Amino acid sequence: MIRGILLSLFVSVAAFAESPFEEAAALYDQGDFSGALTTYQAIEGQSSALDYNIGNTLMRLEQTPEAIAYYRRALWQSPSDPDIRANLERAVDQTDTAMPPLPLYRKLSGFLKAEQWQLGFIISCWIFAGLGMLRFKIEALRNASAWIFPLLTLILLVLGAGVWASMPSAYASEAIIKPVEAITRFEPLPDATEHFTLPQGSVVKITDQNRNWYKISALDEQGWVPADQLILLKELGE
Amino acid sequence: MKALQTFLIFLLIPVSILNAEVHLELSRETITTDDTVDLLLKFESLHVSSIPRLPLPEGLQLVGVPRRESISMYGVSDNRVRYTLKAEKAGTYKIGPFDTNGKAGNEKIKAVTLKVTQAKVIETTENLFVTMECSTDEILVNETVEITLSFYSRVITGKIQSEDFEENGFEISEFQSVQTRPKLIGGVEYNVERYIAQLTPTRTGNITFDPSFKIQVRERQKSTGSYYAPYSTRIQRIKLKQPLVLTVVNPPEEGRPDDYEGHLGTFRLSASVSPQKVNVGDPVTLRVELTGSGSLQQALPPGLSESDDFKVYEPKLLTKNFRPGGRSGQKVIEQVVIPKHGGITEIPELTFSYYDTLSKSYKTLHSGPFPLEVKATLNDSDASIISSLPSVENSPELTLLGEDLIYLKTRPGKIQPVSRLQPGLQFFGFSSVPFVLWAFVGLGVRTKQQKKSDPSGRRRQEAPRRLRKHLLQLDEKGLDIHMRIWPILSEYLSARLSLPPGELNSKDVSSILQEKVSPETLEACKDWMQKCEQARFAGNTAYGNRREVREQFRTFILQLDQELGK
Repeated sequence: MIRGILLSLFVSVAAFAESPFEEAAALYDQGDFSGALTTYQAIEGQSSALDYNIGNTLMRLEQTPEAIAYYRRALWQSPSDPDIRANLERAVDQTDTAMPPLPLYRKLSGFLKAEQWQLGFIISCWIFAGLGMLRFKIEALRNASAWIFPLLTLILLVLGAGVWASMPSAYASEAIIKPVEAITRFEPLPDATEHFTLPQGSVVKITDQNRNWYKISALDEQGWVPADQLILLKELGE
Repeated sequence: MKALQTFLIFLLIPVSILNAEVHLELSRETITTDDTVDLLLKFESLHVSSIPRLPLPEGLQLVGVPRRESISMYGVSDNRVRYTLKAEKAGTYKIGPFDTNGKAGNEKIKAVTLKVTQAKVIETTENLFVTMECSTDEILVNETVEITLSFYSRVITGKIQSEDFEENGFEISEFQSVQTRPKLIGGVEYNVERYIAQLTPTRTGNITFDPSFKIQVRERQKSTGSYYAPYSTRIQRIKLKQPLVLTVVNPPEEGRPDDYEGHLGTFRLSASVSPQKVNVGDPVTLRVELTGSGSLQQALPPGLSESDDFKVYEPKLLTKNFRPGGRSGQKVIEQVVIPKHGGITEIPELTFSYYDTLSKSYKTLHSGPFPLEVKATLNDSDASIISSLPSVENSPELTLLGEDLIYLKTRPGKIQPVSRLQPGLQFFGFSSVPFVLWAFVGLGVRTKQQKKSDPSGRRRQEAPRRLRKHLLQLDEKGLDIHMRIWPILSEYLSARLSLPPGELNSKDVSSILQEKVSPETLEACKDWMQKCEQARFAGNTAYGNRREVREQFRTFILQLDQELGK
């Protein structure tokens, strides 16, 4: 009995305690942006709201490329969020670059979250297979199968595309240029011929890797950049 | 008297247009005395039922009859009356303003100004020549003037090719064709093709134009002397009859206002403020319109500067409309200003200075001050926060980084590892299980349907099970044991070998069995069939005791079933 009361007391105290998310926001409000950043980054897991808040904190700490990386990842997860878009634009304004828009498929799939697409796909699979099984028993379903099953197939394809488009792997190849100006080279060697330069905050696509060098694609060109000059979206903290 | 005349003339305009937006527009702002210009009276989104007569200043004449025109696009109609005018002598003519005397009271059709220069006298007997003219010989730096290129011809001309102008100290637009009309020179009629371009000098000094042109000329072959002689085409190279020399000077320094930023032309300035009653910290929108002609491309309507009273944001260019040629038009800006404290009663006046190229003097336009009522509802600490906000001009040492960010998200959303967002084994498992189930159910249904549609197959499959059931029921009592064995054997063989039960005979059974069972089992089968035949038809029962016979049969038939099952 006493143990039960103590347990319920502990639960209620825990419920009123400040979560790390709120704690970080409080530090941010007090102007302790380094503390806020540490607290945010200590939270295990990831969400678009968390990435957005980290982006804001990094902006306050004048770490624009890192902020762009977090905003960009947040935008991939919630493409229709106007706050993320606005702050990302604000961050990009601080640089000499322009932010490429998200691919159309991601914009279209952005109205549902990744797990919602997956759940929708699973439910549709069960409905599809369930109706398929009932088709053996119910005459009316057999007669209507000429339109029901093509329709269900279409729904499954759309949901499958949504699952694919909302996968984190979609943005895993993106990276942000960290230094004020990154020089790309024709080969992954420090003394290789210079190819073209990219300003800080540019979004690039990783196409290959060779030890500490990444082959990137940007401005319709390809070149090699040292790994320490890139912020990889897939390697951002969780 | 003149006012009365204007009023009477405008009574001719249908009442419906009196409140409408009506304005005048000139097709060109500068012409020569031997040239004509189109004056357009425009009525936006209104139908004009009769053509109004305009009071023209002395020296300007109407050429021909005014024409009514209507252009409709996207459901909005633009109606206008085109008056073609000609000037008798050089000078500057102000057409308008006209009082409409409508309900708005002071509403006016704004005036337009036409500059007319003396046409140069041309004395020539040439069939083809070209002139280049400008409305003035002396122009100002950054002033945009029209230059006119006129091709006079008494022959049929085709393509005209001009050498490129080397833009040294000036900018020039593309030449646009404006009109083709005949002109009498020395009693001879010439066809005149005119082209107009906008010239803007960028530095002081002289600019000389002396280009050459290649013109395609078509004429009858002279050798035949016949009216029906065929045409021949040749290219004629010609130069300007007289080079055009322009002197570019700076606007005078005398009388130059302090806020003069190099703008030239004629402008109008108007501004408005909304809302006019606000609290401290509330945004107020200042809308400023700059209309006119001249260096409007480079000019921007004036905005409010940062002060102790107002925090200001960068003005935002709202609209930018230029008439063809780009010299005249309108620019509108909106600027958000925020009062910093209570007790402010007005937004200070805005000024815009320019050099008026018509009156050759500097002018400063004023708009405002604009009455504003600011309530101080905030306490001191809040007010100090506002006053400490970084502004665009006053505190360059403060960084703006992050200042305009939208605030943090207050809810974290669903925080989960990235790996959870990637479809994993669970996702593929849950998605594929229903289809596996469907496959099993489908298989079962199909098997069932196959059985239904193939009775012999079903009998064949069920034969071993039925055989075992019958063997259990086989005992030594009752009829001759062979008489009881026969139904079991015949049912089994007919079902297993898909033979009709009534037509079962040793020959057919042997022919089927010889490839499926061992010779011993085949022989045993034949033997059992023969014994059963004898028992059925001859009643012979002398084949050992019943129990032994039953066991022998059981052994045989199970062996046969086993071999057939393979």
